[in-house]
Amino acid sequence: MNEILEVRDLVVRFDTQDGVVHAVNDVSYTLKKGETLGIVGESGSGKSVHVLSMLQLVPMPPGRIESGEVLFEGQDLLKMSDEEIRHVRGSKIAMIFQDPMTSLNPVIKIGRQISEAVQLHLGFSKKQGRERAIELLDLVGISEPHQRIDNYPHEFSGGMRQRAMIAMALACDPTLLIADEPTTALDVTIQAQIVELMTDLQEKLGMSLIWITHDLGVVAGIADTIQVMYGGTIMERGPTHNVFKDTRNAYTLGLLNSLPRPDQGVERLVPIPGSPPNLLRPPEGDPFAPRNPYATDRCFSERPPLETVDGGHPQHLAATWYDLPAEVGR
Amino acid sequence: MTAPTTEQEPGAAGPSTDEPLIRVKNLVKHFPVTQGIVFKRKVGVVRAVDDISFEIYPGETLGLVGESGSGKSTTGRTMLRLHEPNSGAVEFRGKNIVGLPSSELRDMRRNMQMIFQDPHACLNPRMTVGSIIEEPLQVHSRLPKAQQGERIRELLEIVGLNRQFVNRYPHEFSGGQRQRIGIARALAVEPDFIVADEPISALDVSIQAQVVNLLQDLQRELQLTYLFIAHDLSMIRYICNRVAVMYKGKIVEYAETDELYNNPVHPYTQVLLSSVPIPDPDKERGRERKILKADFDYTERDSSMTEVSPGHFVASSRV
Repeated sequence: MNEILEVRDLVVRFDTQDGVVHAVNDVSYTLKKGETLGIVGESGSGKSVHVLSMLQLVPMPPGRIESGEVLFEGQDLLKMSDEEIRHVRGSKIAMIFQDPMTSLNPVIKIGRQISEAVQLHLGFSKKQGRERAIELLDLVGISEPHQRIDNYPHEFSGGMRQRAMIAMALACDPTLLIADEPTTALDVTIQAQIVELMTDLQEKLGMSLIWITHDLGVVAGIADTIQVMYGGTIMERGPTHNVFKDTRNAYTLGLLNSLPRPDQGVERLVPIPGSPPNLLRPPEGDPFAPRNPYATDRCFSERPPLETVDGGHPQHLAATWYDLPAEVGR
Repeated sequence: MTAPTTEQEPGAAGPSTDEPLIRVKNLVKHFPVTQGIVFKRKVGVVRAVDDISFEIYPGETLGLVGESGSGKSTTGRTMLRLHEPNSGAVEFRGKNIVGLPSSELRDMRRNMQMIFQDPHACLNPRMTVGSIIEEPLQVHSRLPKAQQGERIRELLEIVGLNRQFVNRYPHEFSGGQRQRIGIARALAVEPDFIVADEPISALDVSIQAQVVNLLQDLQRELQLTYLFIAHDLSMIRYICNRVAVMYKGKIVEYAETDELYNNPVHPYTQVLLSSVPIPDPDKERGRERKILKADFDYTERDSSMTEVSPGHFVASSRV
């Protein structure tokens, strides 16, 4: 497998009235062809904003990319002109957002919204575009696509709208699909349908997938790699099984312990004490240190680097100055 | 008033031990669908709550789950008469609150409070935390004015906030802290029963557990009874003694929590439980999922329920 995306030392800042928000701090990782990467984090963890800034979708100002490069198929996305990046977005890299209602234009028919991309990027005629849209609606499991193509978004249910969004994203056969909380606004039953659809499609089309979520459960079943983010940095990253079963970072562990399990009863949840860091005044050391019962003095003064864990999987990385006691591991 | 005198562990409460605190009988709430601006014509009805019945026992937590639009929030609101029901009865300690004149209703409301979903929307941004919590105390004034200040600080402490926060405004607090303020407000009048409408779904994962543990501690200390409305089935399993599943305005199944999760009978309950993601890759991968089928009708035509095992009720047509 070769790498299609490489993020190197990405730093993103926002200049606001209250000061500089340190939204993304030194984020580096790679994504292989056909890989599914699950990025997990809470609001303010930088999980969405680092992806948006990669695609130059963050308004600048107030946003500012301080440093870093993002190599996609060997080219730096951050150095591209507006026109070049626009060609990459929508054709090679596609995105699906959380709320399908706000991402669809309410006064344009579904079919036209889907075919717009192929007409623009691939030079399809109107008729070819329409055929492609029908084909795509069928692919994402919408019944009677011939009729549905002439519907407006309000005639679709929430789950169908998200399917239409996926169809739109797939229109130009992207090599990378980025899904930002694609199922958060949906009922669990619909979420399960969408998750199944996405895994099927990925198998069929062989694209890479970045799935951004706050829900460890959703990505547990589908991701090859899990990347946990907090306070704008990567706390832990590795093969899904290892991150869940051989957890090395206290934040990842805290997240897992504060989740109730639907498949078994739990005596009492162990919440993470305190609240997330203020990124206007980011802590000098490990951003999780103030909430971490295992923190050492060094955690408060110096930021730990993301390094390969001792005695674990070679691809398993964690940013810690401490070792979690063996008995708290899962 | 017969406040429960024995301390009850959540889980110890069961249908057989006590008289129900709340009894909902054939509750119906329909909303008219109107067209036209000046001359409004009624063109249809939304059967948000369509003839449902259940009981809630003192000290227990009853979970109400279902998809968006299934009528679970409307049920909670109608029970407190924030919506006027079309028909049916809601009995609180044997007294029907449907049809009570507003003066008597106000007295009843002291016993029944609500916690809302969105901690950003349900607190007035121009009021200090102190006056937000003071408001219910003024309406239901049991306490002399002089003691109210102390009571407010005490409430803040009960929900795990600093006593000094009384003069601050809601925007100075995080989502989890705001939810605590909402809880303090609900507790101000010492209610017996609280409807918690999606109290944690707007909060970050790491904060959810804090608030849920707080709700559980308060239940134990103050002998509270909860109706817990949520769509997060993992959290429901954790916090509830019994669970009722709603689908399109009807309760399709209800049972003790473990019984429901282990032996779901209604096809919709089966789909719902099978859709919940498990935060464990080994289990998640080997799972056989039941997916919601577009061509299958999960709707119930009538509200008759059959008891399939003690305390486990399922819509009769599915048995």
